[in-house]
Amino acid sequence: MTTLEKRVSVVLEKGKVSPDALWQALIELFRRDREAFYLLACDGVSRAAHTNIRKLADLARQVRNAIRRTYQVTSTENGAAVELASGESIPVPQNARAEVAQFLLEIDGKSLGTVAGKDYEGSAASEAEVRFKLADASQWAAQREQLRKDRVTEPFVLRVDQSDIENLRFQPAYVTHGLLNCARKTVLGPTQVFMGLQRGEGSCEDVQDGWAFCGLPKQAFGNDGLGRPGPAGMVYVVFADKDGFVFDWDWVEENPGEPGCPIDRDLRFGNPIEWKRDAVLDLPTDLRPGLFDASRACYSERGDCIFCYISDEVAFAARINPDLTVFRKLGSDTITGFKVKNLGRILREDKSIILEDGRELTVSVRGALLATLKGHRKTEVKVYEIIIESWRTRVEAPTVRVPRRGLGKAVFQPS
Amino acid sequence: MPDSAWEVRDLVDALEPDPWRDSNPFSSDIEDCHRVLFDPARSVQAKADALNEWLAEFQPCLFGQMEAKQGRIAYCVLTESDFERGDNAIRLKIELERQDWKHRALSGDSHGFLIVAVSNRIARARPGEPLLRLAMRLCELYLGRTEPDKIHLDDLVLKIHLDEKSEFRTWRVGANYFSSQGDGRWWRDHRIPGGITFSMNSVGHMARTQVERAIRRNPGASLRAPNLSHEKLVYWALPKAMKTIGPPSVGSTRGTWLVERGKFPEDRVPPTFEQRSNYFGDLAQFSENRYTGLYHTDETIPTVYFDEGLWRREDIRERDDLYFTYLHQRTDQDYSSMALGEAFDVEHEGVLKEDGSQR
Repeated sequence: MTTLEKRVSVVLEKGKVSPDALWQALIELFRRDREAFYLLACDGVSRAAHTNIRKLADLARQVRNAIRRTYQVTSTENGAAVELASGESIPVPQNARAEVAQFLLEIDGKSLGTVAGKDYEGSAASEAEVRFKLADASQWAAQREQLRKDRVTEPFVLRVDQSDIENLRFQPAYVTHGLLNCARKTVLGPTQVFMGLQRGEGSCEDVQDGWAFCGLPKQAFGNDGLGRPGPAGMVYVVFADKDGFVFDWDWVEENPGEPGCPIDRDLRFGNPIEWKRDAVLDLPTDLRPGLFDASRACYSERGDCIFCYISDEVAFAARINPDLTVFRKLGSDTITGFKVKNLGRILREDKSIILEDGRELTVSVRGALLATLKGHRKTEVKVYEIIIESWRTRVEAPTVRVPRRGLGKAVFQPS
Repeated sequence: MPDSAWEVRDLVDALEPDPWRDSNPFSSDIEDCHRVLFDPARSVQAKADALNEWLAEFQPCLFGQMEAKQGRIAYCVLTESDFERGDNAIRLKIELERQDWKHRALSGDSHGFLIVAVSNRIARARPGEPLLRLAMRLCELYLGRTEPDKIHLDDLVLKIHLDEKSEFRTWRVGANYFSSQGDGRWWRDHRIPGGITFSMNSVGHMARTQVERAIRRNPGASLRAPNLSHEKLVYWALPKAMKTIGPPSVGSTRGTWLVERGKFPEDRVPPTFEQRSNYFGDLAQFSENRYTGLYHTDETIPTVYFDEGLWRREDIRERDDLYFTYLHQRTDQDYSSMALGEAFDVEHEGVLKEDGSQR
């Protein structure tokens, strides 16, 4: 038996020690012989040591890991547990929970002062105590370098193009509230980030190389701007072009087998990336919702897409095909609007939907919508029928004005 | 009750804007610092640097000011992204930065640590119950306890190199709450840009580090090493602490102030006025034993900061149980005569001048 094992054995009973008694023994060891506790946690004991001593050494090692990697003392079905951030769990008898919690703080150097005044004198500490509390300097060097890199990394700042901000003047108020709240929160704390958006062949390169930030904001926002619990089974997705200009943001159905990730991710996005960097959505401080106008549709140059809303019911986005997404009222199938994607490619393929060809193009939204049926023969016609029916009572079919410059940069050559 | 996994995020979201701030804008020095702290494109390091610059110039605590000037303060800057990552991620980030601080402190490179929750929403929040709960939660994620009006402590180790071996010494370090709400209020001396901050600063660790460095430069001094730290506190730290507290002045918004010597039972003579003048200069007329204030300077989160009913200094009860004696109590006899050994003049030892520069 080594000297340390002898010191440790003092606090252990000779018979089999129950798991519950191990905590008591460890705390007792700390109270009686701190040096032995620290050595046990840092260095462990030999394989030849008595089973009880090895069990105690194992608990001491786990405790050291908990201190270094952070932990929480939580309640469980059978009592309590020290849960490490890394996912490990150390059982704690319920009646010892408070004592264990206090012990863990104490060995971590955290305490409550009982007398006023600063500690000027300090007190002697052993090398083992310092080793217990701090990683070896050579081991810490790699962690320090990682911390340094994290500190100097500039955040990824996403913005919204001024033309898309102006489009909000006619869109439902919940769209602006969603941008100010849900989109902002999603970017700050994404559950998944994808690099690349799958828009099909011939789509705008800036969009193809764009970003999708997915998240689970706690609240959804209606047209009144008031927060309410986020919809179950939904994830929020913020779409940005390759330069970080956000052009779309929606609730989307969540993949039940992949929390925090939308359904059909392989159809929608490029590669998921491990996102450690801070990201921020920088929005104008004076951004306010406008007045919804169902007769107006709008074109996003950054997203190369048309947005058209039939009603201002709070909705989620449902992908129909690479060229069409519809908005459905939350909790129902009712279509409230749609998004025609890849307008540049659509116009290149069918110029008949261009109503006026001047400095800007005036494009028929109905024509663009119908064009999304081409090449996607499995798409249900019913969706189109519903949208067109909703326009039946309108005096004028909606149009959008499309600047040439964006289309020229993508795929469209002016006629 | 907030969801414990994202309690910080939910508590930040629950904060209300401070109507008082509309008519009492932040001081220009705070606003200048906010331009960097709230710039979404700036790195955490850039924000820490901006805060450090502010501390070096505007921090009322002279110890903290000196440390900032020397670039010896370690920072853990929590951003809005951290709030959204959840409480476990915040706890881990604090712990990693805390460990890094402790590694720096081991070799004497740092004696102070700031945990700063940077957020425009926090900085502009009303100082009431929601803000108190946020402060308590951040305190819990750092130190494992939440109670306000208590002295919460961390510890800090210094490695002391002897001839053929090393020794370690550990100090208890108090945590103190600072926040932007203090700017313009009666507790102005605990104001800070950016939001909420917990500040940890060990004067004992700092003094001992400087003593050890002096000994390395002048090995003969090691003969009196046991007393050096004490001398350093008496002749260096005590006047600094008194200067930090400062004399009372009409219209001041500071929360603590010195009191004429003679008011307290501890104010005995000697040392004489002449002796005190040698070390305390203009402050010799004030007690070097106790001072008066509106809050307890050792308590980590004084709830009076969050009492919205306490807008005016006149409404707050003064307390005089605030002591300097920890800086000289161990050898009061020596202190009384101020005659033990030779004053350990840091300026002559080339360690630190009052303005923080080095000789």
